[in-house]
Amino acid sequence: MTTVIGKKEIPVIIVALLSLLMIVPFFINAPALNSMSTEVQRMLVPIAGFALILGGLNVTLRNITKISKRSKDWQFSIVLLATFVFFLVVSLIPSPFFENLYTMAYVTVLGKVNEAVMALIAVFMATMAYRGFKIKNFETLLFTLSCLVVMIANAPIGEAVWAGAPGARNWIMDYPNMAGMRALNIGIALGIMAYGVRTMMGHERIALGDIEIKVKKE
Amino acid sequence: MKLETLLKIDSRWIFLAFLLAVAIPIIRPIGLPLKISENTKQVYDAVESVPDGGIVVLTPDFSYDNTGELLPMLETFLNHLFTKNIKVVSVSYYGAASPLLMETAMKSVGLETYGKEYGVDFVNLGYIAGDETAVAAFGADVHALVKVDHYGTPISELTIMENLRSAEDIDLEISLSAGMNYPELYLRQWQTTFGTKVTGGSVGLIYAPLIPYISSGQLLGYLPSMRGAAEYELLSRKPASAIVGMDSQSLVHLVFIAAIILCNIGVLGSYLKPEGGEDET
Amino acid sequence: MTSYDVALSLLASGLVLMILSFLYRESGWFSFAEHIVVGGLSGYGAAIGIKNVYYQGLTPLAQGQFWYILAIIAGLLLFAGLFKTLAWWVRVPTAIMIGTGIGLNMRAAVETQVTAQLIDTVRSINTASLTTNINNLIIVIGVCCVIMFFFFSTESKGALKPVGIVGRYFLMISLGSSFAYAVMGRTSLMIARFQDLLSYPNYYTIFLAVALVLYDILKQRKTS
Repeated sequence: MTTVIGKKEIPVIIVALLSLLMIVPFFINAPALNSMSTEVQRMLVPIAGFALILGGLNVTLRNITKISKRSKDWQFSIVLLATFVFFLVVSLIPSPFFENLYTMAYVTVLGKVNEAVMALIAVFMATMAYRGFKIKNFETLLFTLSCLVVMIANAPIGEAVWAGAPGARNWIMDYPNMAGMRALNIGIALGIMAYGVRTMMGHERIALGDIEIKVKKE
Repeated sequence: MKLETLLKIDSRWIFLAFLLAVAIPIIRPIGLPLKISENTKQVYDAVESVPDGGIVVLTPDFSYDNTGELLPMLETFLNHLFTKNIKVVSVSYYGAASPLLMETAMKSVGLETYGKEYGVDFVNLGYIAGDETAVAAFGADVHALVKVDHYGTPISELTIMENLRSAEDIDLEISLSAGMNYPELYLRQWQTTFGTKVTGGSVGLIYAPLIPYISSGQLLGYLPSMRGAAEYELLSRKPASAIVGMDSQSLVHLVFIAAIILCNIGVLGSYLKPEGGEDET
Repeated sequence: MTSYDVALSLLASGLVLMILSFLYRESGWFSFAEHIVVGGLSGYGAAIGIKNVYYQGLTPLAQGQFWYILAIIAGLLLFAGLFKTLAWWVRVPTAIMIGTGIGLNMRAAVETQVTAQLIDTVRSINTASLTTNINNLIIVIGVCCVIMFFFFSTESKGALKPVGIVGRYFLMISLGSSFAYAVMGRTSLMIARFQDLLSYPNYYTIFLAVALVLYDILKQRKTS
């Protein structure tokens, strides 16, 4: 006798059943199904919590391996692990010496450093604008002009120099930009729905881990 | 000087120009005037239209890597909300740091400044993992999902939570988002399902893709980054850090515009060379 | 400001300058600060995860909602990926999360992201104002052309080709304006950092950083 439900089918069945459980009560009046759907949604929250713990565990294991193998820059892994343990402990256990130690450590130190990492992008965007905004054809002309007009209008100095800048920006944002972005949004929504239906039917197996995407190592 | 040499400026000069453009106005402010856009007025009116004693859910869906953009916005919203008789419930679905951001904002705004009380006029429910699932579950039944606030107090002990049972009870959702999916998520799970009104503000990166939702009336206006926060501060007559930051924005934007113009003069120069063609730098 | 606050503030600005040192050149200082950020964020994230499991999973279970045991088991199965022989079991919680996510996304996406958007697109081009008519026409043409640009089921040739080209023009305008807003956003982050760095007592660290950079420049000149 052949097995009807194999290892490959189980995740697909789970996906299909749960998707339907979420969709059906939205369209038909079925109180029992509705409460079951809400309960499942609530049960997902602790699972997401486990995912966060797994993330932390992965970072720890990776860096322990790096230290034990004395890989390149392994000393930094010690710094990482020490910071990891410090934040894990102070976030869970209230400090007997300082009130809200974790809030202070996070808000005063870590948050600012984290933002500085993201702020670097702004500086690289400036060099990108210098190297990449070369007008070579009509498309790049449109791209550069729309960017320049919006930038001029967004800066108070631009408004002061060119009074018509906010009007021009609003027109660009509300008509050509809006048309382009709307089409993109509709396309993305339809794409996600098509992908969802394909996953429910078992045609899209990458998300469920059936097909592994192999990344070529350099 | 040959024009095409303009294509070969060392990146570090641009970095330096950028950093000076940021720093100089902070040391010596310029104080350029700011015009308030219709979009900001729409957001302001949405907050103003919340009925007396109404419930506003404020969702700071951003982390510390976006404080420069969204923290001034969060503070200006809180300042405006606390001048009115409105109950403010804060909850986040984005990242673990969001509840701390709310604490930072509350420290700067100060509940006592407005004569408000924690648990009666304001509550910080913290972060709930699960993204869309958590938003949907919160919308369906708040009390079944949330047991305690960010500080571990059972929500049954908080009077503010008595009248908030589901998304139907929310008079306005103010979403401060660092990701495109968040306002869309509230539109999908709360507005389409329960008819909740949604407004807020976002980081600059996702503002343009949100314009279609403002145009269709699904979002009641949306503030773009620091500019939006500065306009809102001006409109609510509570100038703060965003307005101060707009001077630096002006100079940095000039650096960008200059970089683009220099680059294209260089390109033009390379085309005008007798042998033609362009240097690939 | 207590001495404790001053110390924390100086520590933060020192680390921020280490990150910004990347603009001058990549060094061990940058990596040091970078690893602190990653470690701190992961530690805090894991702690929040533990709190979430405790309040949203174990508390209801302790209160008699026995079916929450399924959520706990599903959550624990996520860790199966750490063991080669049990790795398959990760697919179960993954399927649960994907299935619920797909269902929740799909149920309201049509109305929110498609229907409402299409309704707003179909605007009258026969109003009293000529400007409004032209603008409304731009929206209709723009939306249709960009959608056609992404329509890959048929080869873009014949009448479809110019439609796709016009779609590309609209996209260029959208992306240009998007870039402008991204500039404003990212610059805000640097402004916030500098507002902090240029305040007391943090500006002392800037003098130190500038001195270090000058020293490095002189050292490099000597060696070259």
